Amino acid sequence: MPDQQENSTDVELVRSAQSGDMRAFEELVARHRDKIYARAYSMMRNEDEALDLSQDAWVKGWQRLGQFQGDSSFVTWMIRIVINLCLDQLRKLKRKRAESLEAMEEESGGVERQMPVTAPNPTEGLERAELRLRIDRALAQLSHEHRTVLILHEFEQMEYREIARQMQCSIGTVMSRLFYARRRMASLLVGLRRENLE
Amino acid sequence: MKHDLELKLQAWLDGELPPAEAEEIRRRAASDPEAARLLAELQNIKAAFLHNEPTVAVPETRQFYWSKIERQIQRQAAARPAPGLSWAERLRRWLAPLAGAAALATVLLLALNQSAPPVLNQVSDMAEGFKTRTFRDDSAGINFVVFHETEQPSAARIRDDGSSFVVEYE
Repeated sequence: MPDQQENSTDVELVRSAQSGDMRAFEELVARHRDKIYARAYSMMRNEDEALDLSQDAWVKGWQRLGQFQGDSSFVTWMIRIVINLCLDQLRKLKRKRAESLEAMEEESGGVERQMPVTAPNPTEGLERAELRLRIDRALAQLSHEHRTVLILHEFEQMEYREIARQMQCSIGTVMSRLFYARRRMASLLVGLRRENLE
Repeated sequence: MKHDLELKLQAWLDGELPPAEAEEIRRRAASDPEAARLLAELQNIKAAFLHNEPTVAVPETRQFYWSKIERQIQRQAAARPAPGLSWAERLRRWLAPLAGAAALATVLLLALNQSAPPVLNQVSDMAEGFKTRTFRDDSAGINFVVFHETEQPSAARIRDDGSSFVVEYE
């Protein structure tokens, strides 16, 4: 890998890649592959699927480079691509999935509807690394729909309207899913804190 | 608490409520202990997520990860038409096989027409007292009159075998 590319900015590399320079694109992949893979993994919770989808996202990114206008950063643009691929994959999985109690309770909130409000704050006083670990473990226990809406809102800072468009549902559904996802997270984090104390 | 109020509390927290409703919900949260507790729980979770996204790295080497992407790009590039072709050129490429098929069909039709000799049907019987028969080639617009030395059966036709005309009787 030439040093020149390692020292180039993303904007310069994107410009070279748009002219057909695959080495410049390889450098962009090397720089941002962890972020793209991490987003796929956070949504799919499966290493193999996350690898495949993140690599597919890079292939799509190369094919659509001509459409990238620089309105957002390159990595933000790539994250949108991988999110779309993950949502497509989750929709396929949902179609295959048999109607389960979890699926039926998803919109109504299931047990979260009756859960008492948690107090005190289950994340208070935790070191950042420990907090991240617990958030990760709790996220893994959510349904795909609840996890996705949390990721898009809290990590991608998407508004309700944009999440509804991405997830192909109503704004009301987004609000319900987000509410129950947060309540479930609160309950799971309390549980993890208790486990830690015992 | 009604679900509608729960969702409005959350929307207020997320800054998604119109100003008029936002003020109403702020007052409600300040005066209703149950609403205040729920709001605090939602706030705690929102704050916990802020800047605390779990991190994870690709479990493959840079070269191995890139090689699959590169192969896919090359495979798809090979399967696609070369970029930059004009619409006329794409149309020409699409029509070329059709034009070839049409030309082949024309040649076959001509060959079939040549291999099947035209048959000229008789258009008049021998007239009383005359030992002749008349045949017509409609495509060429020609009448053929055949003179007989003796009486022949009434049904006959002329076939062009390529080098000469043959009179056939039934």
